[in-house]
Amino acid sequence: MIGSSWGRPALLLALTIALLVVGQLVLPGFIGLGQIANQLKIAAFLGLFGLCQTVVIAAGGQGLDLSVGAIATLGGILGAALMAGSNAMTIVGAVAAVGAGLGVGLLNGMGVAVLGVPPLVMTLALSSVVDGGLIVGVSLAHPADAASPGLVAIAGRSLYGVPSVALIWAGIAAIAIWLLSRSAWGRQLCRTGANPVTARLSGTHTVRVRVMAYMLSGGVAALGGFLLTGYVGQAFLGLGNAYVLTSIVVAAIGGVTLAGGKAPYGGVACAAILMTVLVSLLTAINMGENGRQIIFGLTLLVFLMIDRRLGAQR
Amino acid sequence: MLSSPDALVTPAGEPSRLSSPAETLLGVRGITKRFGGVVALDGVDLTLARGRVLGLLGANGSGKSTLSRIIAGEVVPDGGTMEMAGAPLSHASPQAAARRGIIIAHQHPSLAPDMPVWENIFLGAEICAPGGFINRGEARRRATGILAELGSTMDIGQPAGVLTAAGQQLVEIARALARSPRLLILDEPTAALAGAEVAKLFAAIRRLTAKGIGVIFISHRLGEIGAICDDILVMRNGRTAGAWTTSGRLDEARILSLMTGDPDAVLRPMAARALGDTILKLQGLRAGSAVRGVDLELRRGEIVGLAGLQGQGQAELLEVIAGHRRIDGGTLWHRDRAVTPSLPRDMIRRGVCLVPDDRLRQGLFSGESVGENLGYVKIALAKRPWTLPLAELGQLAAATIRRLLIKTEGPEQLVSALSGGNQQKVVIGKWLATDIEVLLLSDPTKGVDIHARSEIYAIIGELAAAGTTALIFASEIQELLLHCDRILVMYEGRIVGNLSGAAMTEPRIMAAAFGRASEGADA
Repeated sequence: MIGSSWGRPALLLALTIALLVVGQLVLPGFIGLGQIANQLKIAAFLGLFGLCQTVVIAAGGQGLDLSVGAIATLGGILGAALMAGSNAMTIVGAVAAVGAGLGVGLLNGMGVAVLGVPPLVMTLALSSVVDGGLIVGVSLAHPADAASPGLVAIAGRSLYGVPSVALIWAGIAAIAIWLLSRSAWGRQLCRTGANPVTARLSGTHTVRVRVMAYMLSGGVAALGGFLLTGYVGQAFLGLGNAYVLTSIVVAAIGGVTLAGGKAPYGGVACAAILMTVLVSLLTAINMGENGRQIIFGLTLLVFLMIDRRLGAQR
Repeated sequence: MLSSPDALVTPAGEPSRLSSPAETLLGVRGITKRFGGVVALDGVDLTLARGRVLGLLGANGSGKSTLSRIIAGEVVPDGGTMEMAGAPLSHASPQAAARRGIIIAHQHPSLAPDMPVWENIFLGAEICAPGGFINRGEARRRATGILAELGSTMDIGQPAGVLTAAGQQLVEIARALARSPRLLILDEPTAALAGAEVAKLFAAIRRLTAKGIGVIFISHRLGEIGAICDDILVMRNGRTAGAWTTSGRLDEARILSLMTGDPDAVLRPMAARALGDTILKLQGLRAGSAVRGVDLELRRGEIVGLAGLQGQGQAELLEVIAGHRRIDGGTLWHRDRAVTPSLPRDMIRRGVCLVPDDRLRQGLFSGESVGENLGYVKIALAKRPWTLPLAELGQLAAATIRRLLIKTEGPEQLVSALSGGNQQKVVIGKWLATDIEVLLLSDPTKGVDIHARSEIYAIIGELAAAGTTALIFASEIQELLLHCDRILVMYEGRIVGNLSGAAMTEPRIMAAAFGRASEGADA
């Protein structure tokens, strides 16, 4: 059942609740409302970056996007520079950030789907170019780096107790789940990932589908970076770095098979929540960074082994 | 590892059962071999004398390759006996065969692409200096010598992967010669070679036979068989159809009639079919090295067969028309418009659909359900890609399953759980989602049982009656004779025969397939 479309999210949510209960038992107050709201905020960012990986991994061909961190940083710095602390310019900053993310994604997609560069290499290379370009740009232009009060309000505050970032994430997740599992494009994406030859011979424009996947990843990553700027209060170099590997981890735990062809975003969203709760629990019981890394890695291994066993049974 | 032929003599004390052991090198009696339910060899005899070249002939699937692989120790026979120079031969591995001096040079060399030519030649038979080190100098010197005998002056230091097909074939032959064979099997050695290279190869073969080495020579080129072979063995359906000694001139008619078995029978009276307008026309179409200038014309509602020996460009031609391979030259006309498709989608939109060679890898999503596969074409061509018309797709799948009599538990069943024949029906059925004008089928009955085979042709016939044109490449000529209005024959990337009506006979097709006699051809 873990492999079916509802089993995986259900399992992940059950594990999350179990962790919350354990947390409450060990540290009374772990399930406070404020606590949960705070965790949802963190999970929202992880979930957005997990969406990037979900889409490009599903597109197949060893799909992966190692440039999500750099694109997020680009989105944050570019957005902050344009809005320069003014609420009026916030929307301009957001549009420019997402546009830049789509642009980098377009380059990624062209490199992967048209030129045939392995995604690992292509996205890593562009990641370096973007990161390096940002360092040069920031040192030359010294742009404004503060988030506008409006953006801080959107990304940092709550609406009736629910963090607004989590609401934004919920909206994007709903669109993503519908697009990936209830639209022709989502089917084209998954079939291209599962078997690009059959997909192409059946009439799919596989190159276009893959380019769009990388563009989507870039756009979402840049939006994530822009919101992150509001959450942190300012944009800085290295803003998105922490999400490069964690986004891949939540995608894998969420049920995305690295071979491509599957895009279960519901599972990935639940995995983002689970991993956020896990990290905060481990932090709360004063486990050091090293211990957290070990637990993180072991969790990934356990889920990959479950997937292998299920794959072998089919 | 490298030893002279003299080191490989018969074990002492082994009495020979053959009358003239000095003359007979290899004797094969009653060899049988089954692969699953298919009988590949059904009691084959073969005799080869020292210093002679035996030409092994037969249509695709007649068993020549299996026989040569059994002699070379690559395939273990189910029954029969083999003798080499009077001593029984019962090797279970190519290494054991090589120790007795039997070496095969394959048609499709499997060289190590990153290793230099000279290392490839001695791979597995390294020349060792004392202490087990490879004697590079000696190996390079000998590799150069062997290649020179074959008339090649290629750089032996270059990696084998950069060589042309011809170069790789020469390295494969050199590899065989480096092992000092007593019996050399050459499986279509000339397929990739040009005329001058063939002449030098033949000279090298003559030098070998002068030393008493026996050669089995497999080729589809009758001219070469006549030029080099002393003896002929024709195979058909896993049996020896005929064996004789040539006396200079090759009786080509006899070979063709033995290969096909039924020399004069006209198998099928042409059912007169009203043909429509020209729907697809190719003029001098070229693509890569496989399709070298094809002219053909297909009309509405026609069933056309594409025959020929293996690998003459048939599968590639279908892929070009389907938009899966890039056109390098010539023109592809659809109705009265020249089209240059950049991907299959462009042709599918024009109603030109391909049932590809490899069902599971190219035709189906093997991890998905029957219904998912049947509906995918509609999804791929969706005008509104943000929607998914689930109800419509469900109806389409159910209707296709009924119409094509696909045996399945239902649209939810995994397509990989179906039999080969029913999988093929799914591959054809997925095109029913569009208006098929031209259906291109690449070996559609490969690995399909007889019953499903006739059902598949019934579907094709039904589609044709409704105005669809079918172009079918099949490796079995009988199949095409039974179901096609017209048969085109391909040879070395071109259409060399266009046979219909009374001219549509197996011997004529075979003659054209061997690049011979184009009587009856009006292409």
